[in-house]
Amino acid sequence: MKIEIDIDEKYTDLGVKVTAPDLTPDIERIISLMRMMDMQIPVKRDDETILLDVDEILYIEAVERNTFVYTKDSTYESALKLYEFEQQLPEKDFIRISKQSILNLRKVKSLKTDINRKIRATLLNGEQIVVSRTYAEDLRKRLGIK
Amino acid sequence: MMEEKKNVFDYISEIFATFGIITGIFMILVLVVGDQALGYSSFFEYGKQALSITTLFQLLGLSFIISVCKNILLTDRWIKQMSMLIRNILFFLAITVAIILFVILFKWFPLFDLLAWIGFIVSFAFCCALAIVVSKIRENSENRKMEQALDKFKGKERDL
Repeated sequence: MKIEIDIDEKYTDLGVKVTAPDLTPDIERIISLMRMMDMQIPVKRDDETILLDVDEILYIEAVERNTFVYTKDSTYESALKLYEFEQQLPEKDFIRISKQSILNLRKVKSLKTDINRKIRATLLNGEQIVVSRTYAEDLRKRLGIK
Repeated sequence: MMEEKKNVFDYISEIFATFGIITGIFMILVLVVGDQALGYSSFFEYGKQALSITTLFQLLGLSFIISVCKNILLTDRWIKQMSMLIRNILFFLAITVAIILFVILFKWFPLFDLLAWIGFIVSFAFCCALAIVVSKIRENSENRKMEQALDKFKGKERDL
């Protein structure tokens, strides 16, 4: 892979140009990571790529080798892995809640204790999601309960 | 989301933790009333001197049953959707049935002693009710704390 960096006063804005013979999954991931710096992520639904505002995300879930992004009304697929989301998303809003999921705390309507020291989170759309026991402790710490 | 996987040693240590607590309680009971209750129940076979091996195995069996009930009813491995209250009630009902069976099978006290049965049922029901009420109060208090913390967190977020 060839990387060219051109710093010049003639440029008014930051731009990244990607050249390749095909749009491979690796390129999609690079683009997704760069987009996330602008608080947007490219996601796919019905073969259509959409730029989704990070603020709209309720939670992100990894199912087998795929990553799904859930918003209030829709579910999208992303080329990014869960750990890449975890590294890039703003830490103050997003928290890992299980091996498979990351939750947007700002989209949580209520929290209730669940069996075995887990936490059941009800989201703004009424959907419920369980915070596993290991990550429930992190969530309690984040909220300042522990 | 699934319950974190336990291995066979986790189950064994759970059974022995329960066994340790039950045996501890019986040791105190035998020490306090062992001599007076000598011959009344199989627990007090040796007065306040000792608990018999047979009794220890019976208590181990009971610990095993408690552990099985706990893993079925108080985790979401087998039953996914059920309120904590119903789980607790079913758990204590299952344990009550198990203890009654042990009383009958191993003659823990005379079968036709009505007073003993009433004493057992009243004290056990009291302990179960107390455990359920305490767990419910704790759950409500923790839920309230989490709600307040969440509101505070969202308030902070809005301020930023």
